[in-house]
Amino acid sequence: MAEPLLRVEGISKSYAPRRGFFSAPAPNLRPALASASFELSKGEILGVVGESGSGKTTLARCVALLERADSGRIIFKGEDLTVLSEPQLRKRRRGIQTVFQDPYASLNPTIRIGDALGEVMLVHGLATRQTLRESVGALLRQVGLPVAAADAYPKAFSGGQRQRICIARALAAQPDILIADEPVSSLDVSVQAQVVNLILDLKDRLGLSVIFIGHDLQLIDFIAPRVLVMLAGEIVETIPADRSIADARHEYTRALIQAVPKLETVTG
Amino acid sequence: MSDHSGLSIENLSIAFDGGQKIAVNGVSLRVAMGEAVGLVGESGSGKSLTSRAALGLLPKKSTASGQIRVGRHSILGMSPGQLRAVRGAGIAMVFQDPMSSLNPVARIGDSITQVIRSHGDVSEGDAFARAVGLMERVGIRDAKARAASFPHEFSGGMRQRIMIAMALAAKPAILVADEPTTALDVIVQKNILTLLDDLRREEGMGLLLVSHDLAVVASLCSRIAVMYAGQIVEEGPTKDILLHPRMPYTVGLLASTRRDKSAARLMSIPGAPPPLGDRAKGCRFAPRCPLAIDVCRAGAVSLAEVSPGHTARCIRTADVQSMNLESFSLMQREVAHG
Repeated sequence: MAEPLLRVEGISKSYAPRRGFFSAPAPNLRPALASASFELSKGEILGVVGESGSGKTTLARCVALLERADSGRIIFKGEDLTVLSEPQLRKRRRGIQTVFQDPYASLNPTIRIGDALGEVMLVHGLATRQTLRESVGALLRQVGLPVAAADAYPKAFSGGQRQRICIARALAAQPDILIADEPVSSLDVSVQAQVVNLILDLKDRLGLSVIFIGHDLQLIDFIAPRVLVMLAGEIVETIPADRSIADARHEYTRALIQAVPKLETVTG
Repeated sequence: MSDHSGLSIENLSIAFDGGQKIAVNGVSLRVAMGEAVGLVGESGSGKSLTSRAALGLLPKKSTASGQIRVGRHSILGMSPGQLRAVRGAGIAMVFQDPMSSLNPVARIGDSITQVIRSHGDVSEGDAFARAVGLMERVGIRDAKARAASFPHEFSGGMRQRIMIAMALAAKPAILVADEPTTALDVIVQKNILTLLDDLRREEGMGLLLVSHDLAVVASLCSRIAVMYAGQIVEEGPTKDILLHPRMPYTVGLLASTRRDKSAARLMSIPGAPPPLGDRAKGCRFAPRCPLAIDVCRAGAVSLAEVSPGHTARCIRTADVQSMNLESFSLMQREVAHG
């Protein structure tokens, strides 16, 4: 079998709170992420589901190289990223981009949308000053926003529009992998559908690989053929593409399914 | 509390900029004692403004007209002192974000004790004992010890339980919960919804549950009102709203909660609600509606009864009835692309 785009082997991460400024970290802490392993192929959407504190965001941050895992290997395009130095990592980060949960907190309110997107392309040498305006316009069109949005500040946009901007900013780096960490949890239900459909369109059009994180198992199941279920820092179940979540084996997975209020249960 | 007639909102309008921008437009809504009513709408629909107005919490620079009654009290026009007397025992509220609604430097037990003492002549010791009792009531284990903890030492779900405990401190007749579970994950959400439902039944409270999520509201409420662009566009018994929606916006909301794996995409309502001050003259949903015809855009559409206790603000309710979600969604795609 060919080497997958991304192979994560047994990554772990603990956050050790210090009791005092000079004292040693407390021993025997439960890790935020315990020996997680999975693979991601080109053009695949992988779902990750779990409740708050299950380690799904820690997993995202470690894979996106925003945080260094304590142990384990992250092999991206055949190269182990965990052994690289910080300057080397800076170049590799372009390939793995993240969209965060809160589109209100993740855009600088004092920077115009066009500048925020353009900066990413300039930093990575993906556009020149001369072509910048055109490239930014193309990005905005790609996420379904008017080109004129480039001249506006974040406050002019609704939550759903802001999330489109955050997706455009991630795409500006021309990544291979898009990590979407609860990208629709703070949006209205009707807008959630629009943003989910956009991510699916982009996957098809650009051949992106996507790690889609959330706590709504029904939604994740719709989006992702393969789903990892996380609990207390561990991947407790992997639901393969050819199996339905209805056949989930782990008790916790079934609890997640039952917790989501469903209209069918009301209407009988 | 026994002779309480619940919450009644009659023809409520809330405007900004000296009446130029009307955010809430002629909303009428009733919540009887022991009843759970859901108020559903997107951001900016006016659902939060409406629910806050029920407690007399109106934004500065806004003007309100109409009538809001909590029991025998008329809320609009009350002085701050009079409002304080009605809040608590008459009506109380649980907000979306428990972290920013709790005092971060006060111990939880002291915060709840303070609420209890501000609503009655109770000694410090008795009030504290009741605070611990309330914490137990909302499912906080080891309540006596936890009363000494600060808000940041609790999880989001536990903080929301504490908010509910505070709201219950003065035994309110009506509890308003504005997106009480939106910041929480699904399992915690289920626990909080179950708690609210138990409290409603056991204490005989009226519950007004405000949310953007139709499924959350439907799981708890016997009646649902749907708001769009400042107006109630459909209201009725939960089963009627879910099974026989008669307003295209409600159909769209229902469609966007569907997770049909055989479809390549989720169904959604194309476009966005109109901004304040730029609302269509006729039906406000017409620009996004696949059924809209010229008559819809001509003049204001009023709420009309479509079946007993079920009203809809649409002139094509008969056509909506004969549609299923799939055909509606197909038509919507044409609106979006045409």
